[in-house]
Amino acid sequence: MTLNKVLIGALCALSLGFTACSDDDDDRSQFAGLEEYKGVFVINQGNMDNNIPGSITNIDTKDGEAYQNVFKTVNGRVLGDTPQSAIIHGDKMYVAVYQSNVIEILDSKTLKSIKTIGLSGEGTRPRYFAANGDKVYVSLYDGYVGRIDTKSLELEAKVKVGPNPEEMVIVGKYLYVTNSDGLNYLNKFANGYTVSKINVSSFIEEKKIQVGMNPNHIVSNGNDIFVICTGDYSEANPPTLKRITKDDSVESMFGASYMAINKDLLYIIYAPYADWGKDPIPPTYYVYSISKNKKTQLNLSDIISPVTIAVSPKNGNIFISTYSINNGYSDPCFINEYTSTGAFVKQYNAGIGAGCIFM
Amino acid sequence: MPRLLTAMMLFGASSLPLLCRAQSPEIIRLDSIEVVESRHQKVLKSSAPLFKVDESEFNRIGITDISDAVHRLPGVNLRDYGGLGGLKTVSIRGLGAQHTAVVYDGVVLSDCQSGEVDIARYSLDNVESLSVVIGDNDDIFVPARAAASASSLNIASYLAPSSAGPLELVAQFKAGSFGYVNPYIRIGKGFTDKFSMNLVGDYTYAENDYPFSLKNGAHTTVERRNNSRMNNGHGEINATWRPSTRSSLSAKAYYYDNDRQLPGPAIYYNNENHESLRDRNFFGQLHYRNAFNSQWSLQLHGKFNWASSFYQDIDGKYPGGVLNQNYWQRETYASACLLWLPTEKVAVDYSGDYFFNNFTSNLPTETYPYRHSILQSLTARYRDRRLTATARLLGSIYRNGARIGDGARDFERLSPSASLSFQPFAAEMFYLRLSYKNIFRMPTFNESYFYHYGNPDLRPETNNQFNIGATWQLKPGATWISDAIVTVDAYVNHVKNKIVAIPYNMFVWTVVNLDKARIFGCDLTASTTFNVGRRQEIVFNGNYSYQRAAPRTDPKSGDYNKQIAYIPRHSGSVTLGYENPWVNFSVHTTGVSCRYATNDNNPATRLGGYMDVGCTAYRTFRFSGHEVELRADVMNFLDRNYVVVARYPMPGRSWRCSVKFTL
Repeated sequence: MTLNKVLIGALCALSLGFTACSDDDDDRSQFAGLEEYKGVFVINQGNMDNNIPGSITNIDTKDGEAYQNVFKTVNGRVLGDTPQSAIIHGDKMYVAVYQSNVIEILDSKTLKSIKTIGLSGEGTRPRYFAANGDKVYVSLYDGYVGRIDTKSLELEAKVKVGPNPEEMVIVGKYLYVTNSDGLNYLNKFANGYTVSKINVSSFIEEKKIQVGMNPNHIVSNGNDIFVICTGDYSEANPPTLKRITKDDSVESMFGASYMAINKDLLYIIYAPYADWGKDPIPPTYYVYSISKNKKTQLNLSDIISPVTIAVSPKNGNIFISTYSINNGYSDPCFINEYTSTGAFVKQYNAGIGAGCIFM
Repeated sequence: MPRLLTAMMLFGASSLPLLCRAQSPEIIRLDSIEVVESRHQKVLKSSAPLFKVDESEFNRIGITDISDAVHRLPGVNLRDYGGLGGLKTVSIRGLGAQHTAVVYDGVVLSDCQSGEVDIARYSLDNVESLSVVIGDNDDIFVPARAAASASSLNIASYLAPSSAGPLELVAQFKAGSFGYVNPYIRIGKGFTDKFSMNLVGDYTYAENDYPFSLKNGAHTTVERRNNSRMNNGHGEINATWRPSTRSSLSAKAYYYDNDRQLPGPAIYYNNENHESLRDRNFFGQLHYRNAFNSQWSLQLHGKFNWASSFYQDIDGKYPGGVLNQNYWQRETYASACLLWLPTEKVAVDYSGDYFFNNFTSNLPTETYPYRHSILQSLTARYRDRRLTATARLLGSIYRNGARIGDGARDFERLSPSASLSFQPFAAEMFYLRLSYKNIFRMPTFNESYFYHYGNPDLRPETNNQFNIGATWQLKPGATWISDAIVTVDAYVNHVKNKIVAIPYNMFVWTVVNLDKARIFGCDLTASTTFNVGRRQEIVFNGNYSYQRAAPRTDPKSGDYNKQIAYIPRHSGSVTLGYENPWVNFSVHTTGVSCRYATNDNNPATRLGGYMDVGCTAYRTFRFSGHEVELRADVMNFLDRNYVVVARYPMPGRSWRCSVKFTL
């Protein structure tokens, strides 16, 4: 009889369950979703090592509302790991999901997923887009630019460019893509330093233009092309803005880390890295008039640490994403909206790692 | 929680006086006997927490491998990356795996690159006993290096036979889920009473392509681990020479080779991974022991260690389409321990260790660092029937250098420790214990030198640990209860200069001495055996740990007083075994409460708690003096889908069986 008591006691101990904590539960969306999404969109990279997948935030600037996790709400599944960027072209939205190695094609209004292009073999790890007519181009980190047909939604061709291509821009008959060689940091990005010039109709790389160390960002006003060479994150090689003129010659301009263009105005964040052990250099903000060749400083408030910048082609308002706390790589970011002259309008909540703002 | 307490109270001893037998008046001459200390005695009287598991229990409580054995001990956080090939490191009481010394047959295993030892390498088949000591206890005749870490995991392997005898042979074959096969052989021979040798070989192959569930929004998809194949082999030769009854010289040569594919973290929509890791390790170690007379004993250790680690990732994004990172490290080690027993109750030990480490790699930024380490420890112990008190002073000198550029900071320090065990009631096997240890760990070579990441100005992480506890072997109140032991310990660890990686900017992370942490907790263990019939026993083992590990650097920062990443507040394990003449059977479970992947406990990084239940059945057949043992295990019987490290899923339900033949 005592044995029974003992056995029961032992079995009770055995059934000691750690069920107080349920299985990891995803965040619950607060709302059921909208019929249509408009305004500004943000790609949040998430933080894969900390178990946070990427997501899309929608900001309705008219209502002043920000909606989180809109892709997951509409499609019932997560966007993927470490999405890098997206564009809206025609009636579709194209999202480069870098770590998950897929390109999501969504309806730009309802955000329903129309197609998911999975990548493997040669031509993988999508980074950034450029679009022209019925083709959308995607840079692929293993050294290619791919071309997607907007009707068939197939990745129909690719061309080999330099190592680790990043952003792209289409001016006239050519597609320009930065070859960063960003994974070659032990050799100071030696195999990059260029922008590849690709003939759009033949889809052949015609030449490589020498720009500078670790070129990443590229924009154009239709005439000149502006490239930011990010350098090597030290004071000896700070990030610099360069201009490529119509005859493919390159001139250095001034320091710049991130930029966004709206017709004649180039908006710039300059946030160089201080060397180890020295005080951090506070970022500065400028607007550069291309035709007047004049740089004016902007006083933008409430930015803890800037991530990226975008400008609205409709009303010229500036959007900057910032970390909510210093080095907050697993904390949500904020999106600050300013007028084109730098007056603060509103702050919106975004997701973790808000790396790309587009509209 | 209350259920466990009830169960434990049911084991409360009601002591009945033992009947005494009258002594015979004759004088009987006895042969000289060797006194072997009972395992319980050592564990009960230890002045710092000591937990032991030996090979007789590996079957009884269904232990499948070293990480499983360690997981059943209190206060242990195991970082497990999943499957047979997944990296497994042991952190004790929240300090981090670099504070745990893993000792293999008396000599500390080293990894100067990462500072962590992957215990997945060491097969349980070749282990005779395992023990974990937290802090310094009353075992003083040990090399200085064994006292140079906050805790130690001691692995004792099968050495050469202890006397002359016939050929000893153990041959085993294991097979299991996901393409697992594992043959093992051990041959030993005592050629004479003075000389014996043994030979060990084993090979493990596993596909490791286990299925796992990935929760994705409203759906859950079932994926399979890909690129996960494990392929390793290991061989050892041991020889022992006993020139006299008081002295012995043991030599060991060890080689390990592992060629495995790495599945990487589980990524949404992408199962492709082309990473692989080739690890090789060779070492030779010598151990000489001489008890000159009843007062003086000498122990010498020598070791040469070579290890290489080749990491490869094939991906077009790398310059040249492939990333090859090859690392090599070498160590030479020598130690001398001198034990002096001036009286019956006092023992004094002086130990001096010297070791030299160097490191090379194929990275263009390599600086070829090296380090000279000189450790000396002076320990005194007083021991009588009821009191054991030990005090130790460890003197450490570290000199760092590099072939290219400057070496990291040099360092020297005196680290004291003290421990006490006291039996307050002579009639009860009840002991109180108290221990204190001040110790540190040197920065690893990665932390000091790795390009951009390393910081040569790093100071060591220091730790002050206090432990107070009690152990109690309940008097056998009835013949059907035996070996009822309960231990309880409460502890505090104050960590300063905790080495953490902080993002210097979005692209570059660097290590700094940033953090302070305060870890306190409580460990409870209980074990007992019930004799329920002729040759039938029920074995019960249970433990529970509460750990509150809080970062306490800056009250304004987001992680202040939260719970350090990956440390669960509650963890425990329960084992119930039934030994009988037909089929021995045991059920065992380990469980932890929820944890966070970040120090600031961001809710988005929460990882759920889990319970892993397994069962084991085995039977030994004996015929003509030989033995055949059959064993079958089912792991994660409830098929729970869980992760220890974020994005590294653990296998669901799987099985394993083995056949072992002993000559």
